[in-house]
Amino acid sequence: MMLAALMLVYAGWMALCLAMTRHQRPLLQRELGRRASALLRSGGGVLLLLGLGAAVCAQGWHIGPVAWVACLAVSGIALVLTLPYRPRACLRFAGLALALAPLLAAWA
Amino acid sequence: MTTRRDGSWRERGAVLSRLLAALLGGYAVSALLAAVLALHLPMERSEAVLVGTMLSFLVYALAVMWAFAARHALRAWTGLLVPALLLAAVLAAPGWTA
Amino acid sequence: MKQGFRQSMAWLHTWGGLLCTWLLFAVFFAGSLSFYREELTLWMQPELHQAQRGGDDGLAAALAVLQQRAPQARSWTIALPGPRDPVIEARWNHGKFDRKAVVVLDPATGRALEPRETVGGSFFRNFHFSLMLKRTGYWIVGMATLMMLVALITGVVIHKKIFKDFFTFRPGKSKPRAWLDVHNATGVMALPFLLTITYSGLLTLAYVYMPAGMIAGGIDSERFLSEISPRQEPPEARSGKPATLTALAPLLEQARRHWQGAAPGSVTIHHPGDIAAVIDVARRRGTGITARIEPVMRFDGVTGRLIAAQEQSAPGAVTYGAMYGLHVAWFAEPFLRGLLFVMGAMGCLVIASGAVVWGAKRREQHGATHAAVGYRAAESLNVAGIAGMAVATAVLLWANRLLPAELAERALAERQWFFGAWLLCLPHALLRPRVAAWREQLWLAAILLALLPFAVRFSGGLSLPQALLQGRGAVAGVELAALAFAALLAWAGYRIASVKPALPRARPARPLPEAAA
Repeated sequence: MMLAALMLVYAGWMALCLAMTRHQRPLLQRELGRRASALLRSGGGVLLLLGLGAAVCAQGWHIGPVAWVACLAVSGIALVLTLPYRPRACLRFAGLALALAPLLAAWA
Repeated sequence: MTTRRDGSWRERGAVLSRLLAALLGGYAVSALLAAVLALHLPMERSEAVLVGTMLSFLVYALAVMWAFAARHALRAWTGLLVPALLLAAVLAAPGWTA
Repeated sequence: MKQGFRQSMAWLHTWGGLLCTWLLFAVFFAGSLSFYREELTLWMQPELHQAQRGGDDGLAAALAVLQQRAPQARSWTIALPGPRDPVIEARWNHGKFDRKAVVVLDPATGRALEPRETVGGSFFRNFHFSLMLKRTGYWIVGMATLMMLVALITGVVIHKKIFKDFFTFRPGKSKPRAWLDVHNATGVMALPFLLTITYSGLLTLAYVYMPAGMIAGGIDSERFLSEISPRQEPPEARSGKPATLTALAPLLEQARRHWQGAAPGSVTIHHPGDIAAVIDVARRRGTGITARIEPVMRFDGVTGRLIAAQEQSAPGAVTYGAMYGLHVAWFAEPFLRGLLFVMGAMGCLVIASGAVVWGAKRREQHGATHAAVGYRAAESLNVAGIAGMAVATAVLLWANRLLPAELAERALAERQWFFGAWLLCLPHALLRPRVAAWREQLWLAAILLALLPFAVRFSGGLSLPQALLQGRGAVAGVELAALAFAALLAWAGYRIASVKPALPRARPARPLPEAAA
């Protein structure tokens, strides 16, 4: 379940990152319209909140939010530090994380 | 707080003065605040002590920032000493101790 | 004067931060390792590797040992085994603290174990708040911690594009720019952690730093931590009439039910063997987020009757306990503990990258000529403070394996190896060229750590394959982590070796080698 939270948060960061014009070209080779960007932004927010939900499910209301903040920090820095070197791999990994998250949540 | 690279003695003295204001003046303000809150917060004594102590560290950090944000060193000192004196007065006021 | 405010905060952030860089790095480094204090302690005592939980967890054996060794003690304390600590500890107390008054038992067999004397993982914990200098060290670390708090707040104030730059890292840009990106991104991502750990760090030693409120409130600051915990004063004196102690297991079971399944962590028996005996059962620490305010149940030592169930619920004390708990993270299960460790490493990265930005900017502004004296000294301190710390840690772990187990003052000797190695790193960093110093120290640490799993031959205990096969996560984890760090340090040494020594900055910014990768 904690792993699912980590995956959801990573995908959420990636969506928020994709919503920013400056990161769209290296990641997608084109710029997205305002509608698509806004959609990604809210999608990213929802994913981060789902990550909070998973963390709370795994650890309860006291420790869950702490675990969520930890997930935010660790997955966020992992994304930022690898993004300029392997943008496409980051994007693929975010897709994989999104696909894996429900499986991980169901498994544990 | 302009550039310090030319480093005249006057400027170095001002920085030192601010540093002392930050460390000593800041500590005076935060310690006095902790004591005043410990005595005067309307809650159980041990609780008031904890609240005062926990807040005092934040005040200390802000006091350090103030000491370097003030326009000149003298202002940094007065900005810390005046609250310190006020708090000390509250602490010393006889009828006020709960 | 908005403009002026931001500038003065930038000045404070830069110089205040720089002043404390090496100290704060050491504190964050050792503090991060302290998240694994119990695992490191277990690894450093190979005599305990085989200990296993089971049966009554050695409770009967512990009582038998205490009865035999210290029947007249003022109190006995039995620390029960937990998920991170497989042994049971029986301590006795004749009125004043005695480090030697303890027996360690294997919970499964009840056999007394004789672990070697070692600094254990506690070394890093103690070092990170005292620098092994007692009160003086507390104050030095306290000042640096306050500066860290100031640096965090001023850092947010001066970061103009905190949201726009959220995901920005441009390794292809100039060196100061790229490192500033690392500094900002790490700082922003880890900001909640950094603020919490810094502020709560100050609070854990509040009774040292800020006793004013306690003095005003009439609380003895030296006894502050026990004042807030829900423990009562020891009961009245021994009566002198002997009586048999009640069975402990039912009391532990009752406590467990009372705490809705949370396990007891320790049992203290006041006046054992006397009719006035009293038993305190404390909940295992780390059951909730709070620390230092674990609830206690007090029983009559002869009849087993419940006297009181104490719980600290005053909001101020609970808040303090939560801040303390967030700092020591006793609540963290292995996965979360790993994340916390990574965030601690991010703290190290924020501090180190800040120093690199300062150095790189300075070199860019003044050229290589200015680098001569002050810059050279700062750079050497960087090497000794960062790479040297890794070398000293690796040396400590090796000293633990190589020093004879029965050596007198063994813990002191281990400490001397750590500080001796660290001290030697400084002249080495001063004498060797910059890049060579980095590379040699990083690779030395990497080699020492990579070979660490072989050190078991000199000390006994579980080897890495055995630990893996038997599922001893703590023992295996320390050695796997050593291997991972060896790989990381070797890579870092390789990367530093591939960075050419600073060229004159006449040409436009040369992309870092990373950009080519």
